[in-house]
Amino acid sequence: MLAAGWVAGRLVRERPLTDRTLIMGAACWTIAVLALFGLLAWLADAPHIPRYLIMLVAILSVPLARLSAAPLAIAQNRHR
Amino acid sequence: MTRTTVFRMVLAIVALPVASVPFQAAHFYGYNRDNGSIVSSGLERTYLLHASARHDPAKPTPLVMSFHGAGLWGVAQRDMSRWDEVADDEGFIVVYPSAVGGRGVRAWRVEPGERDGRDNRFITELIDTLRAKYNIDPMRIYANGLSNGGGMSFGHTWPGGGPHPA
Repeated sequence: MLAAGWVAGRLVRERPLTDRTLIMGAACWTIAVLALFGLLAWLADAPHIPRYLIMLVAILSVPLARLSAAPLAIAQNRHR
Repeated sequence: MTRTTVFRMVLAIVALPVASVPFQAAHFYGYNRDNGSIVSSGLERTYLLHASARHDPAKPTPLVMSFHGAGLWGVAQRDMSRWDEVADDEGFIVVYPSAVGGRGVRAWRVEPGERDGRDNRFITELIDTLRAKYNIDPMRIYANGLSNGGGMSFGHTWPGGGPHPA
């Protein structure tokens, strides 16, 4: 999450993406995480599996920092 | 829209699932708390007690002990067994004792010599505690459980007509 925060800061500063794309990207990531959480919670509906652990698994399973850093990498290579 | 606003919006959207984790954890640990404890063998031992509102304190009331499986706890056993619903219909008392973990998973240890029989002692003392507090019929104390808890209900025998595996 720290890496994602750093990447988000650079994305906002260096503007390789439009505002709308940034917000849509964040929304898509959140929707993907929530959907995966719902699926995992449904599949692993047992009292000894806490929901917060399932949420952590869902958060870590959907890549955020790597995908967010892709536009920065492309922009950096474009100006070489 | 300024870039700062965009940055804040992006962070707020991404933080939604992350921020829900501590709330879910707090709910999990709050929901799964036992509601009673006694000190047995020098340890604080906990249990979840459900005394049906329909039970008549003037009449001797049956007691059902429901033991959780390995790795589980009292609230999990309550939710799986749903003894509370039966107790509310029939007017008896249910107790879900919790095992302790320590080295290894939280489980009942009833084999001879295991942890000096402290789980057996805990159950005996729990029955004594509940009998002192409620009008429990000593001939109608029943035990049941899931998996390792089932072993506990069978592996422990009480002299003098104590709980009967049910």
